[in-house]
Amino acid sequence: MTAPVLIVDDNAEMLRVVERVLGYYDYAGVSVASGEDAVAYLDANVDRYLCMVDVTLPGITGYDVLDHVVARQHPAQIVLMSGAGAVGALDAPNLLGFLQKPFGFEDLKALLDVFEAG
Amino acid sequence: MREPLLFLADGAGNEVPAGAEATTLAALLEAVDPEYRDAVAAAVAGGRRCTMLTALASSERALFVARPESGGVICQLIPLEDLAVPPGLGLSGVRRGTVHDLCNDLSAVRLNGELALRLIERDGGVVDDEALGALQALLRVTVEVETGLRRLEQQLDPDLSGQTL
Repeated sequence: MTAPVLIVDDNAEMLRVVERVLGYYDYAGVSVASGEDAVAYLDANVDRYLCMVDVTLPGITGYDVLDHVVARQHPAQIVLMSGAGAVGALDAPNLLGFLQKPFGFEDLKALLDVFEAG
Repeated sequence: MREPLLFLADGAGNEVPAGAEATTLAALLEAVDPEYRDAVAAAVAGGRRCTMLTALASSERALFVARPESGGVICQLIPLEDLAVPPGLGLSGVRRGTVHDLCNDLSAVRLNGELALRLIERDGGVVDDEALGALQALLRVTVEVETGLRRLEQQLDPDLSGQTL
């Protein structure tokens, strides 16, 4: 089993299915439903792991989580997920990639491969 | 009997004639709920068209919304890129939350469908509990997708409110 992947989304079905798909690829998923919980997890677990964050969250957004990681020089790699389609042009040290919703298996696997290659 | 409300088409948006694929779909859905099997069987018997479950794995661009109406099924292609509306494109009548929810639902449909297929293929055609869970989630979310599509449709064109797609 590889390193856990932190999944941050306020949509319960998304958390469930992404966790299942990660399990298919032998990744353990850790699901949290808010940006606040994500920041708490990141602060308590300083390591290089993948963090998939929905951009649109109530309270602390996906952008805020990315800013938090960058500001603390956290080794986590961030993947932003959104249906809005406008965040692809962002550039930040910890930003590994962007998942345009709706996305499928291969999109997710491609990012896992990029993470492993890094 | 439940109506086959929504099936995904293949990446090119091609309809797949009902036949062997529909029979396979019916067999898979039977494991979830016998009423879904009956719905697909009725579509086959009536010479209607439906898409095959395997199309879920490759769907990129289109949804088919199939809805019985006066003896037929109405299908319409809806490009997915039209649903993932970037901000500032003039669709000011669309609440961001609606599109956001819809994109989540569409992701869940695709991922659950692909996961179910891969698990079934991996296990030599056996629908185990994990694949069953994915299929159940797939069917549950399709209802949410249709609700979201109808809401979006009404916001884009209020004159279409209450009509079929």
